[in-house]
Amino acid sequence: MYEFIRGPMAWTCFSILILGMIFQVVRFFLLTKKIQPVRLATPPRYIKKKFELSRESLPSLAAKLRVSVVGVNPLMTLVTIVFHVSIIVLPLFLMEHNILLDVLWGINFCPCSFPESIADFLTGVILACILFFLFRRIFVSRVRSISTFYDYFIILLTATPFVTGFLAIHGFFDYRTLIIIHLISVNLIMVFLPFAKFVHSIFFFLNRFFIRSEYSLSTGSRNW
Amino acid sequence: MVKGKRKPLKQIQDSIKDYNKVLTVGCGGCVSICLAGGQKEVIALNTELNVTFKLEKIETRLDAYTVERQCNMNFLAELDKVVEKYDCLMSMACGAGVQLLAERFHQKPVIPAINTMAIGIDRGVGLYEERCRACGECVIGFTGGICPVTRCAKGLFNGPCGGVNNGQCEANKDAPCAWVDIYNRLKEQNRLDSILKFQETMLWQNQTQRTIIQEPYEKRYYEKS
Amino acid sequence: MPETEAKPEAPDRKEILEFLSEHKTKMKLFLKVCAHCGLCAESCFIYTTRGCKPEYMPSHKMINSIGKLYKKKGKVSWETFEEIKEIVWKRCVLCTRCYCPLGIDIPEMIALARSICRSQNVLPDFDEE
Repeated sequence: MYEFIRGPMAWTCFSILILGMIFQVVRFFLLTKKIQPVRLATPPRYIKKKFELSRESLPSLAAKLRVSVVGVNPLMTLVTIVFHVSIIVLPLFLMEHNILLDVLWGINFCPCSFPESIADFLTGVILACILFFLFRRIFVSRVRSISTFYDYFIILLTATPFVTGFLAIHGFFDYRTLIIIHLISVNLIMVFLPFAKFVHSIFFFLNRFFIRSEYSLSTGSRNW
Repeated sequence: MVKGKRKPLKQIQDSIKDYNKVLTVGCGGCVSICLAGGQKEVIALNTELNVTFKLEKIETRLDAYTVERQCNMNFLAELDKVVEKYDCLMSMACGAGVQLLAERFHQKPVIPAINTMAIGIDRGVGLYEERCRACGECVIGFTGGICPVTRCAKGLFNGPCGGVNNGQCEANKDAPCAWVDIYNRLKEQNRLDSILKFQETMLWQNQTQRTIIQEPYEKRYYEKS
Repeated sequence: MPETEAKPEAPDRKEILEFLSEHKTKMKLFLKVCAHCGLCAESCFIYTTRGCKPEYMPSHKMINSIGKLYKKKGKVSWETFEEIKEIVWKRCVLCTRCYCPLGIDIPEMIALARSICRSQNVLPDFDEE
């Protein structure tokens, strides 16, 4: 069973992940149209504003920060960024994963793998973030009002590989069982990523960088 | 809809510097849509002013409140209890909204924080074009859906002036001549006879404050004769 | 205003489905992308000025109007339509300023729900005073 989960099942799920992501990206570009740029004559005394930190620019910078998500929800923004960066960085640079890669295909990025202490610390950070999200969902009324069973399942699913991986490395419970749960949950996440709730991982970038709106993170070049 | 643009910070700052407690009132209607005076702009303006005053060591307290629409008394009622505590109101609504706010709270000074610019259309995020001057005598049925009052620098009703240069306006080289556009569009629709009829010039007289009543409601407001 | 026609027994599902299927891919995608994070709340001035109640949060309004129509595949009762009418006209003024960290166009979704309401003659009471 372990061999099946690690072999064909993992490869199937990984293919679904990659093909699914390609499908979503391609469909996004088919569904959206390029915006015809509007060119206006520049008025004579126009001075292009440059970013600078000075006494004069302080008020407007403060205002920009205050109305952005950082100013409105600083804690949630911080936790979200830390969480999302960590869940991508940790599995990539985990020593155990890299040893596995080295053994299987001789890909070696061991020199930049994390030592155990950093890996453990990051796992702790991730689990703390997950607990924060969970408690927020349960105790903040506006978040609770739109939460469904599915949302809790997603949180649980995300936590599973980190919990099982941590326990397995540190020799708690039965290593084999833990690793099987670890692999099954990761496989599930890979399948879920392009098609279920996790699809926000793709559409965060597509929507915020390509679609032109008040909150785009770039100028935006496309419209639905 | 109505398009507005925020006044320069310095100007706003000067107009409220004599007051200790200021309430900035936003509007969730047109000015919110054109990114000039919605909740976000109210908070941004207050933050900007707060930091400025703090740097200059001036004691002024600014609070924020946004109502659905400042051009309707019903939506202003929720401000009644809030307003008492303040010595000055700063409105981020259009000229109409500011005046109704000033009417309801006539004992308080009401200061506008945005300039009402035009009745216009949305061209892009934060980009708007004027399309209507609310002249009250719409002629665009004859002119192929292009307004000669707004688009023509001289507001001409019966064809272009002599200043057309390669289809551009003599008053602004970057603006296309409204009458060239009108001609082209009507030609495309095979409706050129529409501008052959003489149009009476606009009688810009009796330009007193207008009242607008939708027809089904006329009997509600007009006295029986 | 005078009543022009008698109200049919149930909303016209076929007509609703036409609206729903025309915008299906995008709307279903938006509903799926929504991570139910609640970060849109404070961008809504109605939410902040009416006591921060959850039912004024943009995502709550979107899930319970257009989301409900998609979930029930257009098969909704007049009662549900009354609820949707309350949401899309009384709790939202379509000022189009909702913030979404994932770039979901909530106003467009509310606008579609409004169109569907209009098609079923479920209209706001504009002239009530």
